[in-house]
Amino acid sequence: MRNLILEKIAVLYLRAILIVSVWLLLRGHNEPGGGFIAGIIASTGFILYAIVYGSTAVEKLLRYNTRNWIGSGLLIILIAVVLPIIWGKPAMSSIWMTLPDSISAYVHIGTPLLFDIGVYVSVIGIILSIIITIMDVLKWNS
Amino acid sequence: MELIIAIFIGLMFSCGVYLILRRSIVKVILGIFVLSNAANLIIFLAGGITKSEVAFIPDGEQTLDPTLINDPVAQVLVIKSIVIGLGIAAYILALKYRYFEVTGTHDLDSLKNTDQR
Amino acid sequence: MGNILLLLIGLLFLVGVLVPFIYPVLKKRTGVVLSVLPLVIFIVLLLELLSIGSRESIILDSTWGFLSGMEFSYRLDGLSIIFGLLISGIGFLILLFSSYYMAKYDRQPHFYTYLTLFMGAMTGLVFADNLFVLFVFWELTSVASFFLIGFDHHLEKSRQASLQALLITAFGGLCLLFAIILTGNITGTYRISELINLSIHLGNHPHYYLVLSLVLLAAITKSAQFPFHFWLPGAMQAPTPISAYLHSATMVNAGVFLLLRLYPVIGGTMAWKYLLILTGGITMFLGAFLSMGQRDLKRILAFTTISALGTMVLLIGIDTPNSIKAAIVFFIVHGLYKGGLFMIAGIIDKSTGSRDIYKLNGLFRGIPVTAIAALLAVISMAGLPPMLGFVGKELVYEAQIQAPGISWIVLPLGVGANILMVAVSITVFYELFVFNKSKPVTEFKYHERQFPVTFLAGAVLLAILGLGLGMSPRFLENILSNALYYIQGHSMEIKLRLWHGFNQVLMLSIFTILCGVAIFIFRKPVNRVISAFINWLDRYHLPTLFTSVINYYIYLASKNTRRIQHGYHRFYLLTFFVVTIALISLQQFRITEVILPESGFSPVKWHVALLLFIASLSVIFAVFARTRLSAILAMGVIGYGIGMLYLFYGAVDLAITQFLVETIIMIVFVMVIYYLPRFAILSSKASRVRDGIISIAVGAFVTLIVLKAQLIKPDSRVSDFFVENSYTLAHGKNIINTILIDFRSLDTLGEMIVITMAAAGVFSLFRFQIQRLKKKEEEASHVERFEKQGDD
Repeated sequence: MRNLILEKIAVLYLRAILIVSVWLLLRGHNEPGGGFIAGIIASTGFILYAIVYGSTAVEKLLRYNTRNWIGSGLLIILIAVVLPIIWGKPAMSSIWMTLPDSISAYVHIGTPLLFDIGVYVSVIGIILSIIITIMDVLKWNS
Repeated sequence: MELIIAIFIGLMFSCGVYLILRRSIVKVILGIFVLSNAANLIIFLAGGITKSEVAFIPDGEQTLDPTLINDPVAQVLVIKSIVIGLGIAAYILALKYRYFEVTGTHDLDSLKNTDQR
Repeated sequence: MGNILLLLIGLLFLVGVLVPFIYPVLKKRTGVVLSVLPLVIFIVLLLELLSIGSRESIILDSTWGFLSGMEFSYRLDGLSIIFGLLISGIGFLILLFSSYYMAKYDRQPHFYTYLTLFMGAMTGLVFADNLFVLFVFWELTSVASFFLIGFDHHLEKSRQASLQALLITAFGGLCLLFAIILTGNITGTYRISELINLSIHLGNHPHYYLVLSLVLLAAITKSAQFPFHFWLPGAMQAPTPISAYLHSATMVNAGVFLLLRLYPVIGGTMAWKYLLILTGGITMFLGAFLSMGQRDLKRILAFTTISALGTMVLLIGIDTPNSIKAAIVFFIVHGLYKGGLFMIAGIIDKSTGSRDIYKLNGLFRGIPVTAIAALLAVISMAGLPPMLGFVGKELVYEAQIQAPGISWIVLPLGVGANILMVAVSITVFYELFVFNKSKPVTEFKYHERQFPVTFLAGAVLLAILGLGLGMSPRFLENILSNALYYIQGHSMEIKLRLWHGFNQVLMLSIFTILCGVAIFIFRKPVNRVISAFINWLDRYHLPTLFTSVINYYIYLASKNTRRIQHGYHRFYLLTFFVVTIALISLQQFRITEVILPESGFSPVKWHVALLLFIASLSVIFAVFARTRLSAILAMGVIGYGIGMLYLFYGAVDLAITQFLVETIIMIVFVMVIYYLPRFAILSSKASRVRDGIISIAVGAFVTLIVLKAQLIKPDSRVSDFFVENSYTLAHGKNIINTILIDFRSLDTLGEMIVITMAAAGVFSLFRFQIQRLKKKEEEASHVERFEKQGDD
């Protein structure tokens, strides 16, 4: 049985929550938030979408397999870890871009941010992988 | 306040231990959840709850006096523990479902032999 | 120069790992190409040998290591150069040899990988200056030996022999590790050069006998000394190049090397002397004696190897400057002739298909060059001039005659063993190469001229080398005096000559040869006696005994496991909890200070107390819940309640994470819940009461521990650094988050990997099921489409 209102809400919620999650991700360095929290928040949007439209729809929406998402997230983390070696620092130390003072008062860009983005992407992948697998088994896929 | 929280943790531990000693696998899982929450609380309490400041550096300042806040590392550890708890919870639920599907029983005592299908 | 050596050893490991990728390109030529590496090492070492002074050692510090104090530093001195030369030189010839010998085997890349890695490990072992590095390489050689003995792993016998060798040598390795740790603790250094230069002798230390026995165990297991000698004949299951290289010329000598290396630290006491003389003497004689009764050429050589190793251990035990010199010379002698003889055994095996000396006959006809090489090697084994073997044996006799106070037992044993060796040498050569009318003529599969040069080079070159060194042993004097300087601690004039003039030793040699020939002439009755003895000995067959001990051990283990691993999940937990409570209460009784302080607790917040009260109610409710959904709801209340608690105490990120994770868990739980069984009461009332009591006790003790933990106020916290530098270094105002992703990002990486693994676990639990489901669906949709088409 289809529920039109719920379907509409799921789409809107997904869009809104994705924006919110990116905002949470970026502000996580100075205020509550961060990659993990943002990742879970974003995946709630996908979960609602999955509950309404079925797991296959989410898999299509994600374009790539959830395991690829996990992999690319971990890859981003790995890049953030290895990148400092190029600057001659030990792995996992942080490298910050030097920005003009007017910008750096608000935002800093460096490998920890990249690390956080990696966490964000892989958390989305991990949670959706679990949820989609369970939904597939329980035949909630359409 | 520590006393109250400590008693609460003790209560959670009692209930958790009682639950994981059951034969029914669903109860065992509930017990694991309760225990993991209680363990998180222990770590949180170990960081101290006496200080009132929040672990944020105030706007316009460069640094914060560490004596003003509770130990942030304890909080970080709890965050990690919660996240790992999520992984464990998801895995155990899936495992439980699969176990029930394969064996058709929820009595742990009937799961003595590893070769049983 | 030394740096090149270091590089080359590293290169051996690298190449060893890369062999599977090199092999498809080079195919048959792999062995020949690989052999360049040991050849280069050999040349480097030879230059080193020519240039090194008699009191000089080169130490290479490398700062890289596992831990501080475990650096890969290397030491070049006389002893290690002698060993290194033999290892790399024979390694070079063995690689040439195997490129033809192994040509018909499967899994050649494996063979070359193991062999090259072994070569690297063995070279590393002799040059290591750090005891831990030495230990790592020592174990690596054991492991490589395990894989190489079991190379024909489809044969039960090989698998058994390799396992036996591994168990025995790895046991020795453990002893060595223990001895190293003890030595390091006592002396404060793990570096061999420091140990030698400090001239600390452990002789008076209370733990001396422990260290000594551990080192001796390591050495006698590796060098196949009595009573652990039996693994070596078993190891002959390996392909012949391996037997030649590992089990005669190099690896088994590692035990001898260890004894010589550690001599300055633990050697020279009474216990050292008598233990080594006892085990070495028995091994020397037993090996030579048992070799008489064998038919398989490789087994004969294996037993003579055991005998030779026994001789070296005995000489080290005699403990005079002359005897140690003799031991080192004998090591060179033995490596040269035994490596050659094993390769000759391989050539004979290839060309005739048999290794039984009593079936082979008149081989000179088919493989004349090999026969000449064999003659030279056998002369060296028997200790006749003009080979280096003669020099070696003369030195051995001299050392045995001079053995202080014990020559009356050492000398007859030594002479006896040598007589047997002479007899074995003559027998082997006679049976193999001299034509005998009474035996059937041997059919040749291949004649010598069909073999490539590389296949014969090893045996011939080693024979020539033995001859050359025998004619001019002066070449070795300088390096020997260097080696002895670092072993004995004082320098010593060394003269090596082929001809010593008429003296006691020469008389003994002539006597030995005469007796050996006599035994050869009466070999039939002698063989009968020896066979009878071997039959008697077989009742106490050591390999079988060893296997049965291992089997009994496994039986005991499985019996115990069945008792402890009974399969009742809750009884495991019960045991765990009861033991923990018992231990904690013991500790509580021991510490009698007051638990609760009068002040120091934070004030009670009544809203938090109310929250906790509600959470407590739901915890209790969860225990007694009758339906699944209500239990889940109770779990939710607990989870959100704790999240609120975090929030009240200012841990914002923590609270958000807790809420979100709790939500996700709830979603998953609710999804699965209706597919799960209903609750049912399965336990009896008595067991519920018992569990209740135990769980209340656990809760009470946890409360006590938590309160006690509150009393500990550390002086400084790790986190102070993070708090102070959160903005200045990590450019973040949220201290929790900067710790998470910057200061301690390794933890976060680990955490991500853990939950990734959880996701992978969930996926792999259901993978096949999902695939099956999807397939079924596809089929169904196909059928549907088909039916629709049919309708049209």
